[in-house]
Amino acid sequence: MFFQADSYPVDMDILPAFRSTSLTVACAPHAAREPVSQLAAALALRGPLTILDGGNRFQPYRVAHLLRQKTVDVNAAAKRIFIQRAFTCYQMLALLENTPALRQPYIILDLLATFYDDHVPAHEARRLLELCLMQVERLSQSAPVLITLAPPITPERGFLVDTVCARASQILLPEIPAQAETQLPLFTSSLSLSTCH
Amino acid sequence: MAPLTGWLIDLYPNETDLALWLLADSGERLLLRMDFPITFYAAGDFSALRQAWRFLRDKGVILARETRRDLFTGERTVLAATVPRPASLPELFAELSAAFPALDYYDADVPLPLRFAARTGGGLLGRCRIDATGNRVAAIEALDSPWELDPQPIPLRVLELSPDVDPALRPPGRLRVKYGRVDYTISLEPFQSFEIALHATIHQFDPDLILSDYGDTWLLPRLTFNPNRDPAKDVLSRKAESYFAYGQVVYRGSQVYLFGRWHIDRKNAMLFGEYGLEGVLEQARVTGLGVQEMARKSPGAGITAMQMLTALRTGVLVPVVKQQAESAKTLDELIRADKGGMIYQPLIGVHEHVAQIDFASMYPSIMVNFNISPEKKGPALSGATIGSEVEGLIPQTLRPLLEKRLALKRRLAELDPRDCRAKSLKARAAALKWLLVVCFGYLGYKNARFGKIESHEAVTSISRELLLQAKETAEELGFTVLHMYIDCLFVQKPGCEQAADFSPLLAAIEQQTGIPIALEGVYRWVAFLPSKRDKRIPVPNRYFGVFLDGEIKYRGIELRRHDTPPFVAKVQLAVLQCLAGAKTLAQVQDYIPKAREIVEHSNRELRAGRVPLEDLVITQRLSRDVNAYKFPSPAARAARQWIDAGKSVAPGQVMRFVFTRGKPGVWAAGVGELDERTVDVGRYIRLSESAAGTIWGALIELIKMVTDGFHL
Repeated sequence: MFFQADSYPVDMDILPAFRSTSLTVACAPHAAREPVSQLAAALALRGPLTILDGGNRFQPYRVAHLLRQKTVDVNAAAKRIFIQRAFTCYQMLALLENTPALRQPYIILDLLATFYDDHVPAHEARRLLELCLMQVERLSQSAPVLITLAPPITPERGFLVDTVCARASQILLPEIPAQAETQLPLFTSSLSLSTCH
Repeated sequence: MAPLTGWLIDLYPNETDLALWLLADSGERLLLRMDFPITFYAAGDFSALRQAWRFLRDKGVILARETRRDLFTGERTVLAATVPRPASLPELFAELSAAFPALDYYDADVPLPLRFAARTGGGLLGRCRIDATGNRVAAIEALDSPWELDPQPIPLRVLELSPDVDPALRPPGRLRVKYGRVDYTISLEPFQSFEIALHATIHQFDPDLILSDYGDTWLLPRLTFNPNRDPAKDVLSRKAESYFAYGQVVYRGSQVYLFGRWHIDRKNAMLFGEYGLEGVLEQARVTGLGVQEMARKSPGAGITAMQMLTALRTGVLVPVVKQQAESAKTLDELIRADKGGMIYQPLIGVHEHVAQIDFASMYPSIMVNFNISPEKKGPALSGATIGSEVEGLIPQTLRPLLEKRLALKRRLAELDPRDCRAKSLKARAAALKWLLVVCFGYLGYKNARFGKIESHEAVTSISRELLLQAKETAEELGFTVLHMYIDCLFVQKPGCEQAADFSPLLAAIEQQTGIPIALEGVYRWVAFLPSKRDKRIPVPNRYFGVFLDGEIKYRGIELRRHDTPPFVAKVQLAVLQCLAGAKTLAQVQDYIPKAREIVEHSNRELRAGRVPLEDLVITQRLSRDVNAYKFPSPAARAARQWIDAGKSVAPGQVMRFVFTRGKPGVWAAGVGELDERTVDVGRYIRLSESAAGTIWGALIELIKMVTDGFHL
């Protein structure tokens, strides 16, 4: 499954979907980092949440800015967001294995970024991803989990996206902007030419 | 047989054991052999380890159960597998890790020279004494250390080979051959005769080092004879590759390694232009990696090797993959911790009698002085604990490197610049500097075996604090701080015009921070430039100025950019040199007409076709696959021409081209002949005038601001 990297999902509102299901996968350019910032700020107002960042996508200043728009007690909200970053797929697996299953939401940002690294053989990436997904399943039994994915750098790693999406309760894709309706011309060019004549 | 003494110049595995090449004091180049069993380790689930044991026991491997130390998790029970033949390790490890991927592996991919250095105490390029029976080594003893300031120079035989033209531009016709006092050229046609002549030269001169231009990518892959000193080995060729590093796609050309002698391609060697052969040898000596490896790899590979060596020597396991992830931080903790170095925006304008003072190797000094290492937890990483704990792996690795570089710098400062030793000392200090520069980045680098992001953050946190302390110290002594950038300060005080006037400040900062600080120089005048888009906004680290001795320094202008064509860079440099003639700021305006004449003269030369083609060539890197460009850049258009000419192009590859009139607007170097009448002269003139304008335009405006009393 592939998705277009051309459009940026500014209208992607994840929060309504995130409430109802246990494992949500959002596939979008830039791993939906702007919608995730919005979501993180909204969730932090309600309680603690954990963000596991696989692609260094998390925007701390943006989230702080959004929190400031929503509450006067920014510090309290900021202390409810727990962030951990992984820079290799081995670290991502270690992060997931060491994350306790609590009753608080989890956002796994750009899960596959480190798996796209061409220094990691495809079979090794597949093996590690399967292990990661087992951990994700463990976490999703106690709390909602959102995984965001960015498009693969090369088509050869597209199978990783398919593997993650196959486990999802629901998949969110950015809305493709509808083509603006255009009014048909009253006259065709040939007709107008002939009229001129 | 009497013990042999000399320098170890090469080692590699062969079918049964280890081959060593000794450049003996007698002048002989001796091939010796040595038994060298090597051990790697596996750890993890016991049932999986038992299966791995069964998997290995029939493969001629000696197996044992041991307890070893993982840097992060402490003592671990491991399966130790000792392989009698070093050459068989890569294949065996590949089989084992494919069969048991869930196990943690250690010491399985450590380069052989590092294992050798850890076990014998000596290493490549070091002097050693060898007891041998026939050609078999019985014992080996190191006679010097990589940290000696004056290692005995190795009497290398160097053969230099360079074609008369860059093969990417057009097929070379002749090859220049240089060794000792001999210097001649050989015709490349007919190729068979050329090969016979070159083979005879190599055979007769028997060089230890073949120092080539384009040897990796052009000359050596074409040779049909074996240029190795060890005839039993074939040359080792590594294919070109593109990879993603430091936020960009990097292309590495193909490489050709020799056995028994070295081959360095100056055009394919990382940073060779920066520090030359002396620097490469210095890096190889202190990192323990071979000369051929170190010349082609980044300094980061050198730092990794040094860390591995420290780990091997202190009994710490070297993991094949790093697994330690970042500890959880709250949002406010992340915002506080995840920052870089301190920058204090410059005061836009031209300033007279400004001193630039730099912390010497600030980040490595912090890592050593504050004991910053990834295995340290809590107070040490916040910088509160100084030297109270056992020294961590990283400070242990860096301390001798840092001390050696500072000692070399001190010695250099004492030498007369005309002293014949100065050039070599400078190159060696520069080579060590590059290792120290990258050691900080490697603390946070994803693939660093012994890195951790918290250590990286701790270093920048301490650096910010120290720079602020330096600023406060300067201000207490009456100095104005004009600009601060990571590890350097630009300060000014009425009456302080000579180097000695700033000595009390240096002493005060050093006492306050505990980090050595040195005077880079005192500027007659220095210009801090504003943003091109908005003249009210200062730009950090974008300046040019002239030191008291007339030396020019510039940062962030066209001259520093890799994609500035030499013609434009030369014009800008000439303008700057012309203006540097002004002893005072007031005199600068008198030099501007002469600077304008320089530009006009260059433009006339260009219009008349008297500028060499090489000076018009622009060098740009392809940031992605050619087909992935929506709006092809000039480099992409040049790449397209290459592809159309049947040549292959990879992301990260550097394209060289000349701007031409009409479509496609560029001529890719190496694709046919350029019709010089099509060169886009107007574009080059615009570029050179813009570059010259960066200098004089800014100066005129800034001087006007100063004389009008306008202050930003």
